[in-house]
Amino acid sequence: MVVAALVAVVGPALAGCDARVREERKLWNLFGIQAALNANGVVATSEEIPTGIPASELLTRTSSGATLKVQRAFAEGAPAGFVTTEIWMNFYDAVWTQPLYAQVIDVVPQVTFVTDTRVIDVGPDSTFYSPFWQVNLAVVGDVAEDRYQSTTALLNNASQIIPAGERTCPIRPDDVTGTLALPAPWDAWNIPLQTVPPAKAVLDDEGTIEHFSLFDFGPDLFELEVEEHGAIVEATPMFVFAKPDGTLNTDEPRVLGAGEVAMDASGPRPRYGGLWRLYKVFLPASAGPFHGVDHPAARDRATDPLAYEGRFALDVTCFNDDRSFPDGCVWLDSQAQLEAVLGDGHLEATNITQTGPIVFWQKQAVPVNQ
Amino acid sequence: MTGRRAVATALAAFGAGCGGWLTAGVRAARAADAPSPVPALTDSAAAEVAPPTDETIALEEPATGATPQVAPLVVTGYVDVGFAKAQGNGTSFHPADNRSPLDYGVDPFAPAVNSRGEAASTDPGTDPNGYPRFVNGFLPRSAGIGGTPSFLLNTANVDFRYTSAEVPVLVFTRVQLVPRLENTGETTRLFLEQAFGRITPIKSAELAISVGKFDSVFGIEYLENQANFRIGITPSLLARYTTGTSIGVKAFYRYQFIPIASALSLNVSATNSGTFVEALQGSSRSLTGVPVVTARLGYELNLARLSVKIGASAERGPRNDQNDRGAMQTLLGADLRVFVAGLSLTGEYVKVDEEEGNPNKLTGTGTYTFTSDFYAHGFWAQAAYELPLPIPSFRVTPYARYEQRHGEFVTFAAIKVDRATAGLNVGIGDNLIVKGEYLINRELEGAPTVANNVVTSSVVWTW
Repeated sequence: MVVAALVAVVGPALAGCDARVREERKLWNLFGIQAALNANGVVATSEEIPTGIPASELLTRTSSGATLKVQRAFAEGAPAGFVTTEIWMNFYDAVWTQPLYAQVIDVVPQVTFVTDTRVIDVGPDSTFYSPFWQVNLAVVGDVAEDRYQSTTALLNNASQIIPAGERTCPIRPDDVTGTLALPAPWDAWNIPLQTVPPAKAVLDDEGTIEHFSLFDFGPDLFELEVEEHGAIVEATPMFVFAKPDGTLNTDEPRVLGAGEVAMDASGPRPRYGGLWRLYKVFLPASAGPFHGVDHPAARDRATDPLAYEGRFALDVTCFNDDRSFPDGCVWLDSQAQLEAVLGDGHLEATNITQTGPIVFWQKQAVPVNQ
Repeated sequence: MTGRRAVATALAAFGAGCGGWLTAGVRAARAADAPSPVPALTDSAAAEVAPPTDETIALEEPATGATPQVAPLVVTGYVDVGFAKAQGNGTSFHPADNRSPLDYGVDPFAPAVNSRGEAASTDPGTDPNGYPRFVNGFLPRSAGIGGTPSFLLNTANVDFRYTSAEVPVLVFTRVQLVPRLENTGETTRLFLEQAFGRITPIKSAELAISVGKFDSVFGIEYLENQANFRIGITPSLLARYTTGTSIGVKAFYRYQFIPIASALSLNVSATNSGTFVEALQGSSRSLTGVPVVTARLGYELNLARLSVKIGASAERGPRNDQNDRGAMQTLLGADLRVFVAGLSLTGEYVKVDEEEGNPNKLTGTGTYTFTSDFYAHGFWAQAAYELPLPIPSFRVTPYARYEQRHGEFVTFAAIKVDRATAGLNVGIGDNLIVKGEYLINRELEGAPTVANNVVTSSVVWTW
């Protein structure tokens, strides 16, 4: 009778069940991207990118493994390049910072490190993995390098924990390096790019000590914003043009959103670009990218035709008027231009975010970690 | 105070509650103390049936027959006033711990200050930039006192019980008022702890079917949910998984083997949210459309001087803090109670497994980002001894509890904590209980050490 009573109530509920509702989310870090590369596969497959992004667009195979591949973009009307180290799908506004500890013997009279291996708490397998770190100096005295290998041990034993800013340091497989080069066709400019400095970290996973390699893209590449339950990394818009079917065209250069860039003798120093949110750009039928091979007359008229390769114009007929090219085109090559020319109604945020430090802008290498 | 005493107190409280403006009800209730169709073996056996609340009383009443002798409506209640002081800032958060989510790497429930399981504080504090540290909804309710000693009106509780004159039906509502001074100002939360109707359809059998919002059926700690029935003050570290009330249907059946002084019982429920406390999973609606099924099978041996109760519990169903019905929560538990010569030994083991669900987690305390793959197990064991005093209506019961909990948000943090609790329960008559206890919380593995011990007290006025 008990069972009958339960069935009487529960049965109808179960009978009326709809299909399971499941929102998949996924994080591709350099481990996942390299695995896809080795399988000649793709990453970031989603509704917006049904065929995914070939891993070979993000990493270049080398004899010893792979290296980061620079992806082309335009920022503030100028050619730009960035690298992708992580892609988050359906993480909403949920990329946080995580703490990273540098052990120091003392901070006076100068900072003396115990080891160049940093201590972290969240590894690349975690949903909560983040390449955005809050750096802390843990004053532990003159101890053995492997005395403390967990953040818990440091919090319990350090005489001082001193905040030391934020850095963007993606965890990487040991054989993925940061030797950067401009991709075709911009490689013709012969502009050398800087190598991303490596770093090391250790993680205590329930007693199992794991060592990781990292890239160190340096400080000041992201800002935090306060949400209801804490601070998250603020994502800057990265615009990707949509194909006629509404999916993202990841074959052409993207447009990077606006941000603060400091300029000095060593080059441009973007103070943003750690985290991007992809925005889908819906284009009118008249719009399209410029490719010199299709418009040789226009190409030959431009002073630096490579600077326009892949750049979208509002009306592609301007490519046919070689007398007014390129100034006669309405270019869609900056956030301000997209918003002014197309309007917000043509720009749609996606659930895709990615790391993407800028390594090249205005035909100059961006100093990495300086 | 033993389980036997707890029930006695409950019954007395029921009567005492009628002593005021429901005087007629008292007389009627006493007149209704006729033998029940299937008498409980002992008072504590009645506690096995259900928490020693009005439900117990109802089960002992004639299911059908002559005109009821009790007043149809009985109103009782209690007021729980405490004074508590937690170490540190009243949380389990280390001031330099900036992991995200902060609440995943510690036990925010550890610095409990009252029988509601409220922590002294759940304020995550700020990071070095002055930003609030990120939490993701693994939080208890907060008393908001931080490390400052404070009086607290833990709970003002009112119970309404209506017994039908025509059919074996009982309707019960438990309303609680919880006043707190939040950072945004003074507020009093009105909480509907229970609201159900129950029918006992078969006169000759201990069978009860309840529909509404009712107590958990998992394990034994829910029996002490209310401050006036709890020997100590604070719930265990496992209570967050097993003691929550929820909405649905419940059936209880017990069969007694009188020649061997034994009984078997089965308590089964299908509810919106299972048995997690409301701070972790709300119960007022199902987010998945599929109920959570919970059951406990119990055996009890009731001799003249010895009572032994053992039980095994299980729970399975979609977690109700997200909307993917395929994201399941599974609980397993075992419990034991021994009552002998004034000594009460109780304990419980609980194992919890929650699958990762959809984002946009919804709990009783708000919306959060992710529902994470989670695993926990642990146990608690408690001893209480009611001193053999020659003073009637005066009871002194020292008690101690030890518990351990291992919790892991998979791929993020695994922690192990324990707690030792010692306290004293002094009962004066049927209307007053004074309790005081000290909690020693320790972080054994994975979580940074913090000062989060608690000294707390409670005065419970039952009416």
